[in-house]
Amino acid sequence: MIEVKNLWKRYAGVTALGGISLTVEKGRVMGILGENGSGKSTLFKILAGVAHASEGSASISGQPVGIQTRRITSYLPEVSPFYDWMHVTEQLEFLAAFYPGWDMDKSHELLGLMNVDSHRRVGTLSDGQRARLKVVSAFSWPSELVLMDEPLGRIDPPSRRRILETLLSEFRVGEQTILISTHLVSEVEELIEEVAFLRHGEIAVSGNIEELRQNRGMSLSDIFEEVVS
Amino acid sequence: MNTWKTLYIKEIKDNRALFVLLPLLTVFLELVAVLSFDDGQPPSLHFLWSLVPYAFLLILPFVLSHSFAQEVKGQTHYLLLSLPVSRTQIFAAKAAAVATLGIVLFALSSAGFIAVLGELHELALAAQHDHPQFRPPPFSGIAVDILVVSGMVYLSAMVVMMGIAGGAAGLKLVVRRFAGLASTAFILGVLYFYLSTIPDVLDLPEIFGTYEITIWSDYDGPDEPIGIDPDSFEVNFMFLAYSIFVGLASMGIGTWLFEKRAEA
Repeated sequence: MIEVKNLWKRYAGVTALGGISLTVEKGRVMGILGENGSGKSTLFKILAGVAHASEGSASISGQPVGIQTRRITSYLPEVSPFYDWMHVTEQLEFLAAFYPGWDMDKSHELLGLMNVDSHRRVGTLSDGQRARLKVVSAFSWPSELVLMDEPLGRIDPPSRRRILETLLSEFRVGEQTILISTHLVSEVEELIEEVAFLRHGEIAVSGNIEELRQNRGMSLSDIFEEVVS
Repeated sequence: MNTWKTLYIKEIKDNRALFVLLPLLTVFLELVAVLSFDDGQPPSLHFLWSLVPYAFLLILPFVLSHSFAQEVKGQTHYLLLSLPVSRTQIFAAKAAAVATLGIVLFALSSAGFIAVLGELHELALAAQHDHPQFRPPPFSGIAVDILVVSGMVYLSAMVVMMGIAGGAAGLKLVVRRFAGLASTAFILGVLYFYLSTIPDVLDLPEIFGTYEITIWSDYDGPDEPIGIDPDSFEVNFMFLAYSIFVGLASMGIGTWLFEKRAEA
């Protein structure tokens, strides 16, 4: 599903990604874990097509990142990318025009599930509600790839729980691939099957989560601590 | 819904305050100007308010520039750049929305100004009773001449200014250091190039045709019998074509930079 080869990204002399290579099979849920500044967001931006690689290549479903891959990708950036002046429904209808198979009934169902008022303006929503709105936008249409950059950051525990519950219930097993980045390792441990730990723009450790636990004899959080230190 | 239409409507809604305020202000100023005529009496100077809305044209490049800046400030460029459409489409939707505002303002300003001219023409016709030798020009001739000349100048200025603003906005999005300096240099450079080449362009063959403007202002002085001797000059449409070319080329640079280099 995702194939990244020797991916580099440099910003004005700073190397954000230093030659990453990564493969994610279709239908898998992979965690991209690492400290702030380790290159997680940069990797997601390149896969989402909102940033350009300095070197190397990234492809999704066999196609280089571009309009075709954006048509099958839900990208949830770390920030809230919504228009403050739009009502929640208006925002979702705006997005619906661009993605094939968008289901507004599904959107309303998810809004209810996530406790987000569809009549409110986006600008009046709390951080938690905006984070939940991002998840609603990701699962209102049959995307093949969901890129979730820090979906649990800066939000309260009840919102986190709601988001994780929705992820577990809405994930289309075998059809959808999810890449989720976070530094809250314990929160996503039950969700992810594979993991890649990023450190200074490079993959320090990667593999199947069960195998990593068994081989190293420690929890995912402990592996994270070890990688970070 | 069509993605072009969705982006275009979003841009209009995004600038809805200006889309309502500027046309309303234009209508208000034109009404003030038209109502300054009082039953055959010479008008007060308030009729000059009719010309002010044309100056709103100067706001348009700032609206376009602001539109890009707001996307970055509000972090909505993450959403825009991740949409499955070309960035040229995003850029064009923004420019089209601002151009729509410009065209609406021009239509309202022109309607008001022509109405003021109509009132002035009525006064001239009334003056003909006292001065039979005075021959007011035909109103339809003046109205069409003014529409053509003002339309050509307005459209030329709008396309050039929006093109420069679009180019500068594209530059600002891709230049990380000294972005303000780079866009200022771009604006001044294109303006200098445009203004310095206009005289040469006007000397070029009249490929796009000409329009003959009648001059009705040959006033002979207070002690002479009032007489109007129509004279005329030809306006070369090459001026408009060249302005559109410079504007689109400048915007093309901005669009290309946006398409190839813009990042969230």
